[in-house]
Order: sequence, then structure tokens, then C-alpha cells
Amino acid sequence: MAAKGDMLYAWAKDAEIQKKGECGGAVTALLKHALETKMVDAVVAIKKGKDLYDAVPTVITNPEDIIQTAGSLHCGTLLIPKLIKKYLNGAKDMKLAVTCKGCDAMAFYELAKRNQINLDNIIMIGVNCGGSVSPVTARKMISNKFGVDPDTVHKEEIDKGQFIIEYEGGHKGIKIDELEEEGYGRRSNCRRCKMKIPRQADIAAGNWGVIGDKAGKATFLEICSEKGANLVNSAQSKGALEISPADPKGIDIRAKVEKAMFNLGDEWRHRDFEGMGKGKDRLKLMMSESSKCIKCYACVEACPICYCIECSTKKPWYIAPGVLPTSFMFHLIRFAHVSDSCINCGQCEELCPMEIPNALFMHSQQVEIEKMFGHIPGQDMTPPIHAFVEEKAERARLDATGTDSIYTNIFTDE
Amino acid sequence: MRAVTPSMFGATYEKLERPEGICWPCPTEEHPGTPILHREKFATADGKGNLFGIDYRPPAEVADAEYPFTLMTGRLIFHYHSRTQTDRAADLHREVPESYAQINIEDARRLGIKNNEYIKLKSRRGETTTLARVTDEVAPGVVYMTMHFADGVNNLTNTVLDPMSKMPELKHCAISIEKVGGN
Repeated sequence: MAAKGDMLYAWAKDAEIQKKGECGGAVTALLKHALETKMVDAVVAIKKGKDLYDAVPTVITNPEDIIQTAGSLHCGTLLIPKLIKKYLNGAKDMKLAVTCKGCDAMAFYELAKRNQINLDNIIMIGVNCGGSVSPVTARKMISNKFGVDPDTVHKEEIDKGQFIIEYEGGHKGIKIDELEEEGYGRRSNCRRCKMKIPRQADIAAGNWGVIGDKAGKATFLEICSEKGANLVNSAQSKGALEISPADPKGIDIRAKVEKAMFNLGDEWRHRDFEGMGKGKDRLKLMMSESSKCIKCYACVEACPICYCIECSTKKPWYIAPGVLPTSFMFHLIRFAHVSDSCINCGQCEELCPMEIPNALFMHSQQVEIEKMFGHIPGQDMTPPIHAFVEEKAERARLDATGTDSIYTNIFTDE
Repeated sequence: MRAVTPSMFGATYEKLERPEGICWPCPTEEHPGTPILHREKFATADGKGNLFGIDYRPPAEVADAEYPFTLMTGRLIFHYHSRTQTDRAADLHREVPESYAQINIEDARRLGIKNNEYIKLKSRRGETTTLARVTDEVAPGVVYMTMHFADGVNNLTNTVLDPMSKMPELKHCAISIEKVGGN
């Protein structure tokens, strides 16, 4: 009987799922089991669309269709929770099982904090994620760096610090570091990400730490909640899943890989944020890049923190309508409302038609706010920094500081 | 479609569904498409491009004493053509809900016109009322009016044809401006 906190190796009983799924297909088996036993009304996951580079979000109600979502797609750069808020009524009236990268798991919590998603109705199957690659970047990279026709690739993988492709006629791996030095590789925000094992999900699944004869044939599962334990136990007792305790050496190795990914994330943060300059230089960079904005609202629509029905950016007293270039005020409003909770999911940057580095800007502010106030978004239900106050008491408090600067330690290093 | 368009015959759905798309001309299915049209040579008899000078010829109608402003008509980023699609999008309608004409700050000051007040524009063809947007984005003596609104700009424009291309001179004519007052 698995319990919260357990670390297991798991694999599907079904031969087809074992074959099509990653590392023994445990995630696919769990999703199918949840749907078959009606633990959930539907599964939301990603499947291959036109080709390996086309990740399509899909809602599945027929357990026989779950196999279509088996296998990883590193070009799956989308964020599922906002789609659930917008198109599935925030899971308020249906139960869902959802595969979650780190950013998906963080987005679920931020949406739940703002009453946009009912997390009680969601089973989150978290997956380790080393980062995703934008489809066009992936194709250019495979064409130019690997020297392979992208249409002949039938499997791609990120493993042991390499981007590996299998194609008609062979397979090839190149170090991610080398690719990223040349501007290829993972999305910019993914490089800075430090949510590698999403323990705020119900289960955290991946291939790190699977050693011995099960290597490549089993998935590592960390049971993170009672909900997760119930799902695994039900799947195991009804014959959908096989489990065995994880090898302690494997657990160590997994922890080491996670730490190595954190170090990599820190390096990229240092590099990206140093590259922005400081103070006025940083502000000038943000203003000049943001002036390319055409007010398409893709960033607002995709952002898991943005949920207002009446967006402040649409108030004519803040931003005159019909005027281009877009006033920097648009971006200042986004910064003011989102930066304390930005999870660096990268959607704002991925979807911007003018290629403004929105995620870089927002994330650079979030890390500073985290230093100042200690709030870490996306981990749990801790509410963000903005809080309701009683007006008279708050005004009295501000008056008593003797300054019109609300926080006196913001502009000096302490 | 591609069967009746020789220069696009090679643009199969399969090619179109790739993220890179396909650039025409693409005359055969094996053809990779043409991101850059003229590379080693031009499509002329001797392979060289022909450049020739053009003498300046003024538009058929220019500003004069009676109609002292030059009207340019043109597009906004927020709307497309007559707004049959774009005006149905709430956000685009909010950005630009009605017609306006940009008038230079100095001209506005001289005529006593304030931003967002209604003005009457007149030409030899007719007249129309529209909002004034006072700005430095147009030079003194010039007015830029959106082409997206049926009730207005077409009353002013000149349909004389260009002698070479036969395109009507809808983007340029002479107008006068009057205050109407009110916002």
C-alpha cells in the first residue's frame, strides 16, 4: 500500500502502454485508470498533432483514447491550467486528471488562489521537466545543428544534459549547453526554471533515479498527497500498474540531478538578469523593448495570474485607446499586478508576436520581490502579497511612518 | 486552388502545415519555395534588373486657396477595411469606435480646434463630420483620416485615375476644415 511520501518505481501492466509511454508508461496507465474507474470525468493532456513539433492540448473522455497522449513531446510549450479555467469552467463542475509540468503545477495553485480553478476536482500528475523547446526553434536546430531533416525525426528526448533525436537512419545527441550557447535549445524562461520536480502535484513522475534492471522501463513516482496515494493504490490493486520500492541509490541520484538542474537554473538567472543591467539601464531596456507592443493581449490571455474581467489596461484614464505605440503604462500595470506571483511559465514571451522578452522582465521583478518579502509563488495556497486592509487602520499606519515611501527599505540595499 | 495557380502549384497542404510554411513561387511539388525572389539574377532577358528614374508628377488635386489642407487617407492597426470583422471584436471596437482625422497641433491652435471635438471636412466632392485628433504625428497643412468608416471619408476622396496604373487617387486630395464644436 503506497502512502504519501513514498518513492516507487512503477510501470504499466498493459504491453501497448508500456511500449508507447515513456519509461514503462506509468503516467499513461494512471490516467487511463482514473478515467476507466470514473475517478475523473475527463483527462486533459497533450497529444501529437500534425507531427512531433505540434503539441495539441486535448480533453479525453474515452479511456481507449488515452494512448494517444503517451510519450513526451518536448515542443509542448503550452500551459494547461489557464485553458481549463477558460474552456472547462475552471473544473468547477467536472473532475479532471491532468499531466503537469512544473509550470502547470504552479499555475494551478496561482489560479486556485484567485478562485479561478477548483483544485479539489483535479488530480495533478506532475512530471519532471528539464525544459521545453519552441517548435520552430526545434526544427531549425535539428536542420542546422544536427544536419537532419526535421520531418524524418520520430523521437526526441532530453536526457543527461543532451538533446537527443532518433530519425530514419540513426540517432544523434548534442549537449544542451552547446546548443544554448548558439541560441538554440530550451525556451529562455525554461532555462531559468527551478521547479524541476513538481511536489505540489499529487504525484511527481519522471525518469530520474530509475537505475538497475528497471532503467528505461520504469517511471519514478514520488507520492505527494493522499489523493496521489489513492490513485496509485487503486491502479495497482486493479492490475493497471505494477510498483516496487525505489532503489535508495536511485533516490540519491534523483536528488543529485535535481540539484544539478537547480544550479543550471541559477546560472541562467544570473546570466539573464545581469544582462539586463541595473536601475535606469534596466528600465530603458524594458521601455524600449515594450514599445514594440501592438496590444494583441496574448500575454494577458495566456497569463495564469491575469484573471480580471475588467482589465485595468482597458480603462481609458490609464491608457488612451487607439494610440500606438502602446503606452508603457500597459506594461507597468501588468508588472504591478503580476510580478509578485509570476511563476516564469514563459507564455507571455512565447506568444508575443513582437518578440518582447516579457517573461524575462516579469521574472526579473519577481525574484527581487521574493528577496524582499519572502513570498514564493506556485508552491501552495499561501495568498500573494496584495492583501485586503482596513482603510483607516492602514492610513494611520502609513502616516505613522513619517514618509510617503511605503516601504523604506526598497531603494537601498540592506 | 493550386491546380489553377501555376506559381503556387507546389504549395501542398502538407507543406503548408509545417511551421515554416511555404513561400511562392513554388511551381512544382519538389520545389522548396522561394524565400528570396531574385538571387543570382533577375527574371529579365539579360538577367540584369532595370532601374529607371521617374520625373515628379504632382497628384491630380493639390491643396490651394479654397481647399488649403492635404488629406491623406489610410489604415489603422486596430481595424481592417470596413470593420465587418474587426468591429465585432469588443477590444478592437473599444480601441477605435469611430472615425477620426489627425490634425497638426499648430493648425489646430490656429483654428481653435481641441482634441476630440467634431470638425467638418469639405472637398470638391462633398463634406463629412469627424473627430479631430490633435497631434504632432502629421505635419502642418496635412490631415490623416482613417479609411475604415463608411460614413465619411468617401464623401471627400477623388476618384481620378493614375495615368499609368489606373489606380484611383483615393489616398490624397485637398480639403478645408471647419469647427463644428462640441465633443
